[in-house]
Amino acid sequence: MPKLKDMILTFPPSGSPDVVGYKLYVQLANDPVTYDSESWDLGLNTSIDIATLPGMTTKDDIYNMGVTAVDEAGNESSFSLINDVPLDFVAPDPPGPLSFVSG
Amino acid sequence: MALQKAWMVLLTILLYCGIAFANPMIGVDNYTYFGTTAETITVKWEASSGATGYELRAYLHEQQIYIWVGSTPSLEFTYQLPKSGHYTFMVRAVGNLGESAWSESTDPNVANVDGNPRAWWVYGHVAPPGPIVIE
Repeated sequence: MPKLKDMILTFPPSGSPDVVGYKLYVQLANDPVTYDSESWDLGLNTSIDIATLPGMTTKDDIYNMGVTAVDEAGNESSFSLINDVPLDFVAPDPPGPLSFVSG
Repeated sequence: MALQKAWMVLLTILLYCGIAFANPMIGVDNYTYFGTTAETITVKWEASSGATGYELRAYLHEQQIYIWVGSTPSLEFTYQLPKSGHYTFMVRAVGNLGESAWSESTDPNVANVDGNPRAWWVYGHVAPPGPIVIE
C-alpha cells in the first residue's frame, strides 16, 4: 500500500442558505469541466485531501477541476474552477528485493 | 310574529356567513402561474363573493412545511421565493366574519403560463462556492 502525498483542496462555502453539499469534478486538462465529468460528493466539507478520494490513485496528468454547490432541492450551482492542476497520485514502483551481502 | 322575526334574523345571519365564508373559486383554469422567473412567482385566482381580501400560503415540499405568503385585496399575488424548492399554493377568502377554508392546492400537473403547460417547480438560485485553492 503506497503512501500518497497530501493535496488539500479548499474553497469558501456557497452563500446560499440551503446548500446540502458540494461536488468536485475532475477533467483532463485538454477538455473543460462539465456536469458529466468524473465527480465526487464532498458532503459539506470545504477542505479535503483529494488524495483520499476513491480512484485518485490512478491520476497522473494535468487536470481541470471544478466544485459546485448542491441545494436541498437538487439544484446545482455553476462551477468554481481551477485549471491545469498537476495531479500525480501514482506512487513509484518499490525497490527490488532486499538482500544482505556479507563482507 | 316574534318567531317569524327570529327566523328572518337567523336566515340573514346564515346567508351572510355563507357569503363571507365562501371559498375562492380555485380551479385549474383560473389558478395560473405566470410571469415566473427564477426567484418569483405570481399566482391568480377568481373572486369570492363577499370577500374583502385574500390570504395565501405555500407548501414547500422538500421540508413538508407551510409558509405564510401574504395577504392582498386583489386577485393576484407575486411572491418572492425564500429558497429554491418545489412549491404549491393555497388561497383563502377573508370576509367581515372571518375567513374561508383554504382552497385546494394548485395542481402541479396542470399549472400553465399563458395557456402553455409548464413544470410546477420553481428553482431558485444556488450560489457557487468561492475560488478553489490547492495547497
